[in-house]
Amino acid sequence: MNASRWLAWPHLLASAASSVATLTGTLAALLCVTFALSSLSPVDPALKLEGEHGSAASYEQARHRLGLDLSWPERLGRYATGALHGDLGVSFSTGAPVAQDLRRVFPATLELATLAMLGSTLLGLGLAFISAVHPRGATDALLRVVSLAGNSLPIFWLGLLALYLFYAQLQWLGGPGRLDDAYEYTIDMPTGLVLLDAWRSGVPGAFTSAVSHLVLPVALLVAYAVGSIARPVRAALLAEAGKDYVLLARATGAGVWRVVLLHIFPATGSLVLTLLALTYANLLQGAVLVETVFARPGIGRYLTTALFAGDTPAILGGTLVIGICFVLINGVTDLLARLLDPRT
Amino acid sequence: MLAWLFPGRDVQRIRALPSSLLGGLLLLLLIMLSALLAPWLSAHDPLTQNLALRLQAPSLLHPCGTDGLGRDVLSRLLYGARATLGLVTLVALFMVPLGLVIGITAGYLGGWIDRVLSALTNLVMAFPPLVLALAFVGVLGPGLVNCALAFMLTGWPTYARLARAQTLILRRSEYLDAARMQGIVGVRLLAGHVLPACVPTMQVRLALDLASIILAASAFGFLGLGVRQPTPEWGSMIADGSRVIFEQWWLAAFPGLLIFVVSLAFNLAAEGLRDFGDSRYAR
Amino acid sequence: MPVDALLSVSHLSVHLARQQGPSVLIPDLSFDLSSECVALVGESGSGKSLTARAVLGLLEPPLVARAAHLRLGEVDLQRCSATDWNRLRGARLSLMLQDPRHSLNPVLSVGRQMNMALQVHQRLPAVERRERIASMLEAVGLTQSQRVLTAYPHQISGGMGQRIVLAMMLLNDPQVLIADEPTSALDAELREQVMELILQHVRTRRMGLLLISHDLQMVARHADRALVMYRGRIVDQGPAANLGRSSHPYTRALWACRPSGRTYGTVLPVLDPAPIADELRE
Repeated sequence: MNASRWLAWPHLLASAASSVATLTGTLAALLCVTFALSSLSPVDPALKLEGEHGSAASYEQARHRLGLDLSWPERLGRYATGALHGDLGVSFSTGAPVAQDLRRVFPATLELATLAMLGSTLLGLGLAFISAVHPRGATDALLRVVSLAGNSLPIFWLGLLALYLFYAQLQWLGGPGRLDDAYEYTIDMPTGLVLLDAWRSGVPGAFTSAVSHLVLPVALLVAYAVGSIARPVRAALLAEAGKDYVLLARATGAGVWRVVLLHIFPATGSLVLTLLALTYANLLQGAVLVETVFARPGIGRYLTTALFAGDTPAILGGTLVIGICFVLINGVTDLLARLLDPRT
Repeated sequence: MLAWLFPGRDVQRIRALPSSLLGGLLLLLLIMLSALLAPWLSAHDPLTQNLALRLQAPSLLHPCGTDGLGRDVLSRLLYGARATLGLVTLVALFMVPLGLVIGITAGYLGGWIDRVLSALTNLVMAFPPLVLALAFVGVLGPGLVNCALAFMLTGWPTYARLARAQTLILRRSEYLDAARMQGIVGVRLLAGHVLPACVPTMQVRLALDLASIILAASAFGFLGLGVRQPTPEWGSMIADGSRVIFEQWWLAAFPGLLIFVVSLAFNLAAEGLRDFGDSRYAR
Repeated sequence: MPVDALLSVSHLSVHLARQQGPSVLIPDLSFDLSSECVALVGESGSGKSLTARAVLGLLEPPLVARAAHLRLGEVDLQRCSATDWNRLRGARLSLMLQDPRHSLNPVLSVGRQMNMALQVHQRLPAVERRERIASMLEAVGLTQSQRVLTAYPHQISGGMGQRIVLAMMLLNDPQVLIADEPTSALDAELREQVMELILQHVRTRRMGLLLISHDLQMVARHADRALVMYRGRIVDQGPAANLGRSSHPYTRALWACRPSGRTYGTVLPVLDPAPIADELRE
């Protein structure tokens, strides 16, 4: 990084401040949306709490406790302050605080999304580079097919069929869940990250089991994300390839791969960063369906279970958490991209 | 043959259309026809249960087998197209006009109206669409209308942005000035001159969006948030099939295949429209 | 063909491969370059830049180049593999382009780019690299090398930029420099300066310079020989100083078109190719 750039720090600060302001505004709006949904819900939370056979008095008490007798601005305020302190209500199904449940399942989703992110970045960038070095070749055709397939195939359906083929029929890979039943209940999961915990547990075969259960869900997510990384990066690389500085770089004796990796790719830096962030955010959403199909614990499955059960606080708590992650990832990346591009 | 199908039309122009566009539109036509003609095409009633014949493999009598309640799968697949296409039509009918109105208003009027509407657009765009739609339907209750509403409310910003950008370009051109000098003002100007200019970019976007909405809608059906049982819907059929997938894999396979076909049709049409648009400019 | 020619081009042809059949851009071109400055002049579209790229082996398909022979010293360029070309480019054959703000990578600092150019061909310890680059920058008249090295292309002026590009391209001691309109993007005052700087280095190092330009007056002042191109063919050649006195009608027309203090307020002549079509077809 060029130190003299930071001499323009007032300008950078203003840019950063505006990004942060937008981010905060978006998060606040998200909070309002989840609140609005909760108040529009036809389910009466007081009724759920007390049951249909409770007395009128205990029902009123429940309403008061939940703050349902307040005006809606006050309720919004109560909800917002609660959320900021980590209180997202109490689940109808489990009776436990939603925030606690989410904290328990969050690492699993993080693990899945991050692994899928690594995989799709490596594969996506690799394919983009190959495609830029050999345009109009086989890689181009492959990328188009993969993109088309990814945009037309329902991910949950493909997951089901993959489970059927690779688990039930061929028995090559692990099935639903994160570990084989043998290990599921015998190893401790202090971090919630199955790979780490299985490795550190020292139980033989646990790690392999964890890996074999991860292959299909990760592969599925990667297959869906690869196209959305590879094609824009390829387009950006090719757009730069016609420029003068690339010609000059070739004229210095740099080979095609060297030029693509060391000269062109850095020039597409901010685009790639934004793309990766977008993909990561989308993978969080994709994880919702994948976790459900593969019966893996995580925010996604928590959300769908809550949906099945009509558990409004849980639904909205999960939505809020995923929403916050989504907005944060995009917002921070936007900020970083602005700060890192020497042209701004 | 094309000359016979389209008498009086310039056959050369039709043959010059990209094959992806033609292919996509053809597929869509087939699906639409099967949805419309479902009552005549299906040999059985999709709702009739026959527990004696449950979970049968595909046969001559039931070309796609029977499901867990003995219902003919093929008939359910044909009728299921109605749910999917119905949802898609509903969404397209309301999402695009909403986006157009907001975008054109923001672009044309400018000033603080533009700032407010743009901020709103950017805000909704910053939210995760699938998760919010899930929450919407999950909280307000399942059903076709709620699903359509959810997709509409999360999907309009794209069109607002496109419409606004297009309106801004037009504002700077002399095209609108010429119309105004002819005395065309106000809504008539917007509807007659600004609106048509926005259509080409939207067509491609809409086709792509509809493809992903179909996938999302089937996911909702899979999660039990779509049309209520026992009305056939492809997503919920997959969910039913998933319970018996290890024995009767076809129950989950067929509906997914159809979802794939419809989505593919929209994607191909989108690609074809894009190529068609490009080739027009190139000429 | 002079035996000591640094670059020898014989019957070079460049065409664009299309479905409807090839479109010939350069039908037949031959010239030699020794330790001198040879200028390729002509209007836009005459094929000057294409020639440069063909000689550097940087024509991408569907552009195709063929020649009876194409030699850099004793190396047959047509037999070169990609690796051979990479070894030659930068080390024996180098290029300068028109606008330094576009010929330098916008996201990498100048120092980094110069280091990369050096490292392609030589493995030197960092200290030596720094020295080389600093002395090269001094040689082109940029004494505040630290400031230059940490700058980004959008922070430097045109004149400075061309000096940097020249320095970068001379780092590996090439024998031939192809300069494609090196002064066209500069202000009038700087043009002479930069041109003289380039020539100074070329002569000191006994390099061959292929200068591509549409500025005939500048060519007449600085180059040794001039080749006038029209539509991919050389229609006139001779000592550069004689450009203004050439008997060829096209050359005379080109010379007369150039705006200057003398032509201010007059209507400039426009070249009508019809009457001289015969000469142009040779």
